[in-house]
Amino acid sequence: MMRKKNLLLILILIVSIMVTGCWSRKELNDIALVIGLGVDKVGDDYILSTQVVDPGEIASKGGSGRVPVITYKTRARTLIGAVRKLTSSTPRKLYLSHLRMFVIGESVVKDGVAPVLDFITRDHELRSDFFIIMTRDSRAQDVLTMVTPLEKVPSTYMYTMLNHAEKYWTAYTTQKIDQLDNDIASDGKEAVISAIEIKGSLKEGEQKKNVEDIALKNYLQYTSLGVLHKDKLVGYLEETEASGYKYVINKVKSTVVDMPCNKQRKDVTEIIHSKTTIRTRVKNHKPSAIVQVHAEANVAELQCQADLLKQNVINVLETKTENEIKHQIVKALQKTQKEYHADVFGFGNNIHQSNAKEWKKLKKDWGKTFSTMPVKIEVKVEIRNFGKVNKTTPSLD
Amino acid sequence: MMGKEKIEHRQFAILVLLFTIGTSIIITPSMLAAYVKQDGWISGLLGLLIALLIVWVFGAMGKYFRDQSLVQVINFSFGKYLGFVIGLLFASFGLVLSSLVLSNIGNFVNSRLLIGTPLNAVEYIFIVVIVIGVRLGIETIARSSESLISIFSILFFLLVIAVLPQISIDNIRPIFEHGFYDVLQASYGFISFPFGELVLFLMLTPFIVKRQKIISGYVIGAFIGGVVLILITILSILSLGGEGTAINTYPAFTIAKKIDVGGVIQRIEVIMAGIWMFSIFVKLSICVYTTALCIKQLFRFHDLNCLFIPIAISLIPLSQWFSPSAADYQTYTEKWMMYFTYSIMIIPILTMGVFFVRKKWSEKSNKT
Repeated sequence: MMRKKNLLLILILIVSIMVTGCWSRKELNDIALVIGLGVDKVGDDYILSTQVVDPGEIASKGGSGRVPVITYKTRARTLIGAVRKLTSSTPRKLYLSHLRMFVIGESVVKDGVAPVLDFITRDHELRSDFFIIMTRDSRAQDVLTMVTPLEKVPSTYMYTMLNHAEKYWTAYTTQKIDQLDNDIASDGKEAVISAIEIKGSLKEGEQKKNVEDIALKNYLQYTSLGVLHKDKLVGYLEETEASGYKYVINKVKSTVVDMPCNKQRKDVTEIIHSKTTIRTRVKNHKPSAIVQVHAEANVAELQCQADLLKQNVINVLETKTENEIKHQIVKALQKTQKEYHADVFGFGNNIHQSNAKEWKKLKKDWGKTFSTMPVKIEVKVEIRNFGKVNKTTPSLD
Repeated sequence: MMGKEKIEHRQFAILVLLFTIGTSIIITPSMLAAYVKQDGWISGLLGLLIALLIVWVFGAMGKYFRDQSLVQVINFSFGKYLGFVIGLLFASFGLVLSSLVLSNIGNFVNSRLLIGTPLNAVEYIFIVVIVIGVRLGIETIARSSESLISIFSILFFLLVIAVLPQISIDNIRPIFEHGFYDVLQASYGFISFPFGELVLFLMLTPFIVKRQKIISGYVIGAFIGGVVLILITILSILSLGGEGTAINTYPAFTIAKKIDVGGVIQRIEVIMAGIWMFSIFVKLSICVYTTALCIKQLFRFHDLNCLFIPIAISLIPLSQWFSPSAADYQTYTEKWMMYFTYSIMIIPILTMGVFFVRKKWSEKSNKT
């Protein structure tokens, strides 16, 4: 009797282990891995472009010469509707967990992104580790149909490109869904999204021929940061301004700063470490802010003749770098204060955190108040190292 | 009658601790943040202080009742009829609480982990484990919780460490933006859930071997549990922000989902979900056990084991009846459960008063 009971128990255990996960199982050959999503708006409808990988073509061996990804387009009133509708044109069920890029078309950002973001925040299949970008002067569906070199999957191409651009060039920013949600919802900070552009011709870029030339003619490039007021696009920060923006929000990892040394030539320093503190003050109900940047740099390139062992030379380089960074920040501030009236830096949040009482009065009309708020910029740069040689090489004198 | 089974006071403290953490660990952060956003943790601290006082009172009562459970004392002090009605109310509290705990875990698994699986299947599987557990007796539950606590602590410690890279200190500022009154108001829910629910342990106090350690077991268990809950609230606020914590249904799970240590350790949220699987198992076991015990003592059954299966089976429809949808749970159910808990919390105090008066009375009448 006891033995029978034990056997039954073992049987139940084995069966329960074997059938785990069988309920809503998805076989690998039944699902299509979605790696990029794009949204455009036409009239009241959304056009959802879905970039799906073809696993057979990604594998290093084999591959029959087909393109490794397919981009489907569906038109529907809602995003989830479009995803489901897509089953009528693909043999597989879309699987969203491995999404890398979410590309929002300029048309959608102009109209307001909030309705689009709800779906990607709510749906359980989507994780929160993908990047969100927007397109500039082009449509998301076009960006997702460009054939890219080096990386077979265009979404991965854009993903790593943005990642590296943020690390080594700084002007652009990786944006994830929870951060974007928070920025849009917050009263004291406006959101920004990195914008990508198609360079060259879309018609040629869509074809596989595009990657057969050595000189790439048609390609994708991040060119600016889109500035949002609430959830609507108000304008762009170009490269220099975007870089200034990154200094203020303390997100500079590494970048280069170039400054003129005479009429035609330039010297370059490389920022290796930068830290920014923002302090806000409210006096007589009038806010003001101080932005302090403290950066460490190396000498990266000298086009003019100089001897770095003379202390004065380093000092001049430091001052020039400081001025250049200051200039970038001032440009970013001018654009956001005078043109867009959008506090992308989060000065408002800073006031909220340090002076909650005053913030209650200020937050109503924050866009306007921010536009006239005086901001003092203090930049301190220290040059640590100058590379392999201590003079301009080859030396001409 | 219950001389057979025994609980050490250490085990009792662990039971109280795991019961306190129970389902609260997944819901408390959003509950606290719902009213006062980033100040939620202050409400938590305030609530914990008040709750410790209440729990201390429970402990003192448990000590005073000696080898009698609450239902038996109720019966003694209120007499046959009124005592029966009040006892029944207390038993129904246990039943409602069990079904809500079940609906909590069911909805969580169903909306986050096993999406396609019907709610019923999830709840049945959970309830089977519970029934097997409680049939083995309170001593077994106590001992197993003693071994579970080590895994629990390791996992919790890992969670805290792994979430640290995701936090930003700015999220918790400004501290004390909301006034004292608002902060206090947000803590009401925290006092009743989970601390008010600890009133159920007054059914278990007769099992404890060392009577004088009841109060310390109660208070220490509740204190550590409360600290764990506040810690998870602070972590949620630090990594999701006050608003983010408030709008997320299960903030603790969301922060576990964000774990990414150096690109290597990531996507481990399901392992982290083990934390609340353990605590919810203990909480539900105790709820079901005490409910059965109440019913047994009320109706004077001889066998406790025969009550578990009917209770367990009734839990599934009850759980879906009390909280039919996620939105209903967060708005309607949470609120009436709070009022219900508060009114149940009065019962032992009332009983104590009547018990005291009756005792005095009988002493007086004996003298004359």
